[in-house]
Amino acid sequence: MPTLTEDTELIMAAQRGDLDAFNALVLRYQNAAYTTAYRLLGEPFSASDAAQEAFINAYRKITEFRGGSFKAWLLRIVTNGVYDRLRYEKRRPADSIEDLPGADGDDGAQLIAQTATPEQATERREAQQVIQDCLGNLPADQRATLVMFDLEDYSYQEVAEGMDVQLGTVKSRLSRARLAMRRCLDGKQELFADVFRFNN
Amino acid sequence: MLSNRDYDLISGYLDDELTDSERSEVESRLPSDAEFAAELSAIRRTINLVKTLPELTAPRDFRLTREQAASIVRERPARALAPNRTLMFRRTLIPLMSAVASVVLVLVGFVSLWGGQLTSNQPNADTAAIALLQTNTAPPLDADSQTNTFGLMSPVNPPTMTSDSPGYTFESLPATDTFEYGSGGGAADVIPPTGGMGGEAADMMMMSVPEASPSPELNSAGAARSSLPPAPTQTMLMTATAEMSESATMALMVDGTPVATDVQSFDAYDEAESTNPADQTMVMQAPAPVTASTDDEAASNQATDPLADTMLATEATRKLGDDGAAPQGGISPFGGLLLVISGVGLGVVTMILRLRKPL
Repeated sequence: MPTLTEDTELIMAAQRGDLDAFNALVLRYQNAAYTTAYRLLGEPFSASDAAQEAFINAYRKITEFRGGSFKAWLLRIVTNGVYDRLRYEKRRPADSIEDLPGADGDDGAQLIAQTATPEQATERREAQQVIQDCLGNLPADQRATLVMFDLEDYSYQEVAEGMDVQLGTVKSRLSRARLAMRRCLDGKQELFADVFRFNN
Repeated sequence: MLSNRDYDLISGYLDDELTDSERSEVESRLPSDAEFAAELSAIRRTINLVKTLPELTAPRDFRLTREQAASIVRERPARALAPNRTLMFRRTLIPLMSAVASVVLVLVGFVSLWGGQLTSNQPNADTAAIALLQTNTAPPLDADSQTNTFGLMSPVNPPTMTSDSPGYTFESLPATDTFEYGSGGGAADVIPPTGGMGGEAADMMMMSVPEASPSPELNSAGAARSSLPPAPTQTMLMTATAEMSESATMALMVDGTPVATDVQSFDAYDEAESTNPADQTMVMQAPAPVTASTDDEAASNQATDPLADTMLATEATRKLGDDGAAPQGGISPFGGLLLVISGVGLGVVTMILRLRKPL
């Protein structure tokens, strides 16, 4: 995990126009940016485009960065960009196996811990895909709220500011999103038995 | 069956975002409500499952190329300025204009409510048309146009004025023209109807004397001169037709009140005023060549002016009050109340929009 001081030095250099410094930041956080975009969009190609767009926007706005967590700032750019896209595009669930994570070898390997057996790896991949599919079935605003709070560790207030909604709306959306996920995952608990054992 | 509020409580409880009373409510309910407890457990498990989703590996390198960076740097200045102007307009100018409009509405409304009619004691408050006539411009006279009517909001240009004459010379008018010019002023004394007016249909002109114009004196074919004392606004309404070749009627208003200035021209006005001050039609009989000039040469030239038709001004009926003041316009108390309400409403909306967090 890069330290804040290391980030700060790179950020200051990037603000002075040092592209290499900015690209060092890109290398540090591109997985996080891509993951966030993927969780929100549900398929790798759009997520890749969204992540690239977010880094371009980050470079464009780097002089506006006023300190704090660069990762949080970057992920906010990712989330806002994707959320804007989700609001204006009616997302369709993944309808092709090629769109699923891991199908083309892009990210499936990273879903599974290196210590898992092949059978465990397969089960966990399936479980994670089910979760991702349930996530993709949520309305865009609920999905973004859930990803920001439960996956990116935003606070209620940060989610409210990021989505430009009231705090009560965030609580309500989060509650609905969790209930929908709970119902979507209901009956598939056997898929997650190994995941729980693994995580515990 | 749990309600949405129950799930809100469960979600908030798991996030440790409940108030003390809500937390107490949840904790007291858990031992006795099996369904509530089961759902809390299920939601907790769901959250944990979502959190098991790992960070993925980016499918490609997102580092920017030199070309991308150069392109972004080039567009930075333009982008930095454009949003600022927009934000300045949205956050400053619009609320400011709304606030001013709100204050004006409220003030006008209160004046109407408490002071009776807004303009009841203002001798100069004739109509909005009079005020607008105080512009320094008049429309160009287009002899070719068949209809040339200028609304109150239309920009207008000064009429043709001869270089050797301090007065105005009206050129032959098209079929139906209504034009207006003038300005607020006190220097002008008399509106000189000079030159002829032609046309097939009725022509009507409304004008007032510009402040910057020299004080013209009417010299109508060597006839008697007269002048008015300086007045802020003078307005003359005339209607003329080509067929009406031997008569002219003119209404000359000063501060919204018709006055007669020329001995010949406004005799009829004097007569009308003496007979019926409440509803007067002022008639001016103008001799054929009518040209304003301050010297004899100009006057003699005007005597041979072929365009010096006789003018007939008919638009001179004025509703006058018992005291001879201008007609009363104003806002009723009810209208004033509506204005106050509108102003307050606009102010409230402005404040709400101003206080709202900008997007």
